[in-house]
Amino acid sequence: MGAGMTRYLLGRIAQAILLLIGVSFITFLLLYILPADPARQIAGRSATPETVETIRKQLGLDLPFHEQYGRYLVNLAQGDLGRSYAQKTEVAEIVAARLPATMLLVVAAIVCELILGLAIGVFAAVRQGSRTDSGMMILSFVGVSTPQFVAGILMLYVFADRLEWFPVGGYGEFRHLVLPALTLGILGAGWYSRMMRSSMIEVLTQDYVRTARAKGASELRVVLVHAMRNALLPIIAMIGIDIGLFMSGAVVVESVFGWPGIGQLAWQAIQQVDIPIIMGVTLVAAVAIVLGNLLADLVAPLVDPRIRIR
Amino acid sequence: MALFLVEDLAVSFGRGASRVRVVDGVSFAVDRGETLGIVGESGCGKTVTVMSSIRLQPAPPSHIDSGRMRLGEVDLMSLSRTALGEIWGNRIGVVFQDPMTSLNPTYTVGFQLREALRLHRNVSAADARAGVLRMLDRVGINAPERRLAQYPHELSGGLRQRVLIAMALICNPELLIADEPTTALDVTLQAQILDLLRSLRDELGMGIVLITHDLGVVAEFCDRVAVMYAGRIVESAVVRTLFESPRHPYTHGLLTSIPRLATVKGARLPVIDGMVPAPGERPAGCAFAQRCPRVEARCRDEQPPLAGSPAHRFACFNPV
Repeated sequence: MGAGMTRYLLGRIAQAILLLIGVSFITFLLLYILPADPARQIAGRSATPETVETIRKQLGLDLPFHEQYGRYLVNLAQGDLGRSYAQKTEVAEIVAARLPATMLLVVAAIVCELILGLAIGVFAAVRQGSRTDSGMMILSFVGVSTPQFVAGILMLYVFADRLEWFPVGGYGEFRHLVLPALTLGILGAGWYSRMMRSSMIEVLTQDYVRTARAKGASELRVVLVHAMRNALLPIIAMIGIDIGLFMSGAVVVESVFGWPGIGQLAWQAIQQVDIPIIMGVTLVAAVAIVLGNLLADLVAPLVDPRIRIR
Repeated sequence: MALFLVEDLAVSFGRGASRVRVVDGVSFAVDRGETLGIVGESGCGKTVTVMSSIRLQPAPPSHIDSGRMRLGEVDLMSLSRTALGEIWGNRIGVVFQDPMTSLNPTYTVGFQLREALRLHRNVSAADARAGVLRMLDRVGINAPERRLAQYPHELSGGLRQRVLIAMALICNPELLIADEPTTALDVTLQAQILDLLRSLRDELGMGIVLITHDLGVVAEFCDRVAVMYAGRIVESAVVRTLFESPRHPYTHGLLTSIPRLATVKGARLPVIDGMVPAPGERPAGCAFAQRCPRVEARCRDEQPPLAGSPAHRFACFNPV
């Protein structure tokens, strides 16, 4: 690891810390000005105003904003994400328990969108201007434009209800993973195929592609060996973004399929105004976005040696 | 028998009504050990002609309307893409114009050279490496071992062009196509690369088709020359003949527009007035008629045929 690399990583870490502070501040502020009252939520409908007030004091919700946020930051710096209002357990524990499910879904979804998106994109690019190309681009347009809940419910209807190939929901086995991963993956594949197509079309006009042909490489080899690697660069940046996006944003798909991940946790926490959980999930998402982009940055030079990390 | 023979090649671009003929009725031949220069202004169809003649011009968008191309006994027109892949890089080597963009930026020089060899020769990894090192040495690259692990962007333009030449020659092709191989290089490098090509030609006995717009390169390096104008060959001859007694007014104009040291300072350089007609706007008659100082009435209606002796052909009704 060179000095440039060390400097780059330190810079990235500093950037991440600033980002986390910014994200936590904005989220905290939004939750503070929210008209919903967590103390009332915890106490329940029948509680007396005194009980609600006591709870408010206990949680420190009676303090002014800067003190509440200051406390939160101090605890956060010590690695303490706080306790859930609703479940009375450590936020770190709750989130950690949910992480594996979300990570599994994210990996499976990215594998799906890569396989589908790259295959369709490359095929359309090679057949540029043909009917196959137009057909595939219409398909990808449909993929891009379908809202996740529509795609999810359609998947459930066709493959779980009608055909009964896969269970309606659940977690733990491969068959549970297929439909949610496909739902996320098909939408992503729409974007990936379009991006791959245009990237591939551009690369196929490059001089070095002609050189590869002139050497006697087969058309398959020209596309998969010589053009592919160059065409992949924009895709890699996108995978980095997707990692962050899916880690935080699989809310809809996780809810539709009852997938016990971060997204579902966030959804439940928002309904219960469980501020420590909402904060915890938001921070995990921010970290995931930073790490996703970092990963893309680290992989890019492996694909294109002209890219240097500075 | 000629090594490489091209007869009546016609190439067009586009589809339907927007289809435009870019190369029309071009014929040429190259013998073993012989260098044919193809000269003409930018856009006259030199590259399309030559790349189409070995079927390397991507089709579509281009389309070969007619033509018989033969390498030895092989009829190139009848070959499938797979069969062409066995000829390209093996019996025909190609050196492209721009060394900066013609190498794949994402693979090492070693990978790209080994690939060129192993696509056609069934050799072990160790033998491929040895073959590559020998070839790099032959094209005058110092410290070839070090180059193998480098990426194209780590090499200078001259080195990259040598790598491209090594790549084109690694399977000992019978025919070398060189598309302006020195245009992107500075003058000292140009001379080195041409010397290198010349010695490799003599050593390997291959035929060369050299595309260039540089008459100096032609004079120094070629045996015969074909002058192209607006998609046709307008004059072809042995180099000496062409330079001493050009017959087509276009060739004549080209030769007189070369600046000479003896030219009086401040005197205007003779130029050919006007512009090359764009493909699709070419007149019915001679494409050069609008710019020609020796134009006659029938030049505008009738296409002059390429006629004369095999040693010197020209397409003009009123030659110089």
